Amino acid sequence: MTFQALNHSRIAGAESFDDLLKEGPRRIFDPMVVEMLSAFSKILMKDEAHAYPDVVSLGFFCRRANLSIVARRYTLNDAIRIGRGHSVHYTPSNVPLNFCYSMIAALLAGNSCVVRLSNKASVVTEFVVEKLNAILSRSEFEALRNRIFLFRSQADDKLNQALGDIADIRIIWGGDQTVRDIRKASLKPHAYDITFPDRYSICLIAAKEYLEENDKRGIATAFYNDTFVFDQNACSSPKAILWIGDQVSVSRAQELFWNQLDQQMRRKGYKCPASKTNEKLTKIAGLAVSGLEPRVSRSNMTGNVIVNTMPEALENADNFTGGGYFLQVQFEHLAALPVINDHRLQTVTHFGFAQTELEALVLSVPTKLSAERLVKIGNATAFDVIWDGYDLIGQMSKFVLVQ
Amino acid sequence: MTDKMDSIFDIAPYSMARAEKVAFLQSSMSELTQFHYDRCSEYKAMIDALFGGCDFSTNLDELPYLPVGVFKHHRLKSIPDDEVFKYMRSSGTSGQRPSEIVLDKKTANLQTKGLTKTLNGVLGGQRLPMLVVDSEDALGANANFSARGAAIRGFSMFGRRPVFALDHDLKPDLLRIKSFFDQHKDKAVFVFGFTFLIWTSLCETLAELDIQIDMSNAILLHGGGWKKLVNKAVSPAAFKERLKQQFNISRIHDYYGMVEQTGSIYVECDAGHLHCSVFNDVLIKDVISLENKNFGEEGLIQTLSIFPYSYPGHSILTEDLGMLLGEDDCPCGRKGKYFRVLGRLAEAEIRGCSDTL
Repeated sequence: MTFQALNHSRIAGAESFDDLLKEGPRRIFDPMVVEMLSAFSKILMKDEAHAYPDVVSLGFFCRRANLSIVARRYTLNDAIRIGRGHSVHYTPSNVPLNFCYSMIAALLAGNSCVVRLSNKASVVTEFVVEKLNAILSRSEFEALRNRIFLFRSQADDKLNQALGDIADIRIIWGGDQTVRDIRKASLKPHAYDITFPDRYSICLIAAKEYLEENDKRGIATAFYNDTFVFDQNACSSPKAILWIGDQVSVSRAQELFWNQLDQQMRRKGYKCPASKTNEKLTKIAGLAVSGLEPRVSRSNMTGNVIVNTMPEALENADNFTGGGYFLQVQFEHLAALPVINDHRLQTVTHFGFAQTELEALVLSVPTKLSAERLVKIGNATAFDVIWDGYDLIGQMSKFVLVQ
Repeated sequence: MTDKMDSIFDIAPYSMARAEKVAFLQSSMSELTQFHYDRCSEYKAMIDALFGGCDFSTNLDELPYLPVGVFKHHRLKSIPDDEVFKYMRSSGTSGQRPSEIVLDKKTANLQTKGLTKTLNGVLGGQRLPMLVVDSEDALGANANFSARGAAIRGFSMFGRRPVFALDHDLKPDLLRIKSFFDQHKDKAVFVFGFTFLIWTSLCETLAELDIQIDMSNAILLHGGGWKKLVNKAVSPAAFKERLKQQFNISRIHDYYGMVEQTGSIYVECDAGHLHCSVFNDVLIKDVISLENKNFGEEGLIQTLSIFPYSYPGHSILTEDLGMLLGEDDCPCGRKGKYFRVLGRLAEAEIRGCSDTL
């Protein structure tokens, strides 16, 4: 069965799905696409959007100036690069604007985009979709309208197969189970998947540098934004803090750090989700039984739980949970870090290290940290077309050799 | 300890007022805590980590507890292997790990006696003809049904020759239901089932079929929670009202209980309140700070039971929200605390990357 024949509701973009199917690839960073995104950025950044920090971030990403910085990474090669054709996106329910970043990367890479939105409507999603519709209805972007098709539908094997039948690339967000489910639908022989399975992230802090830092409140704010905007439940939210330094400095730094964070949580009026309370206690109990000597402190005001434990606790991602639960481990120096070679490790947010120290962690043999992003505290959720180890523009486009 | 346990069954389950109850529970609980702390190394490690060790003389407000989730991840036992009598497993919703509870003969025996004593007040102390509002399949091997199966098995000993009211598709078996009520017309019968099934398979389906059956002789005991009925916007009051109108049942009792504390159930009285007995107690903890809440304040339900000897399940923090309503002063005359269950904390509100539904 074709997608057109199956039950779905169109949200934005092409009036008819057949029109989208007629669209072919364009070159990467096509001027009209950049033009459209820059106009999109302008209306997203208007005053009314300021109620939604994630809308502002999205608008910021789509600025012409930013897009040209992004584009510069791809200008070195003189081969022609164009999109692969139709991109099909399955986007997650709980990070409302994720669908936009996925779509924008695919558009910039020269593709048409079929995007399944979560059935959980959110204010932010509706706001952005309305703006997107407004932009696409402008006459100067008419040529792009048929390259986008946003819809909602029930999760359905038939629909997945119909989309598999037309996809040149398929982008699956939403974790292990979603990837497994969607992959049951086959793709055309030349097509492939870009998948975003379950991931976790950690944070690396140099105690001495932290103690010397004047703007501890700024770090708390940045850490809060990395973590609690998604209830510490996004792949990029840190689940464990690795402290580097001697025991005395680390203890002192920890005390100040968690104090600052608690204050920031209270300023924001944030309380940990109550549904995680029991699970946090269960995780602590599990650490105790495994002999990992958990020493627990919790905030009665916010419900945030900090667990001092042993390095071995980091070897098993089952020891982590979200909703305000942090393992922390002290190491005398970077060289004492254990090898964390886990394909689920995504982001390491860091404070107090030199670029060369961080690069050495990645390049050492064996690799100390198999992470795909090492970014400053505060940038955990900042979208980049390099994400989860994928060069999204590269993966979603192709080289064409003309000789 | 054993003497005390034997004599507890001589006491009427709802007869102990606050002062006596507190003294009794405090000594039972600190004995049990010490007992498990000495015999179950995992329990000791957990309590040390969660409560910074254990002061066994503490009052009930500070009694250590285990989060209910530990029974899904650890097989905890305080008895030697050769005293293991059986394992009980539960699985709530599919996809979740089941809890596993280790029983010895002594604990199993206490559970049975306790349940009997508790239900005597409702069922009158005799084995009544029993109608189970479920399918016989619920007793089968299918893991999805095991929670229901365990409950049916446990409560069946209070009835005679249980008859299953539903077929394989959980549709009412009209012939069986009718002949059950025809056969036992003028004497009391015991009807047992899960709240949700009673609503969908009895109330809704029989109304659709426009079938009238007089069940005024029934004593209805139901449990399993209100979550699915909340989705259908059915309140406990509406549930009772409907059963009264449709089947003329007026003796209706909800109960609250869990496989982790089998035998220690909280039964609803005529005033609509769930009651603690001499065998158990309820505390309410703040969902964020875990501090004790007062009467009338919402929080996580902590349940105490005096029965668990073979495993350290005498004090458990559940994932259910509840509220204490009062103590010793329920209009029904029962002594002890009474409370209301407000449902399970939903995972749904959490943000994050997973799930594209």
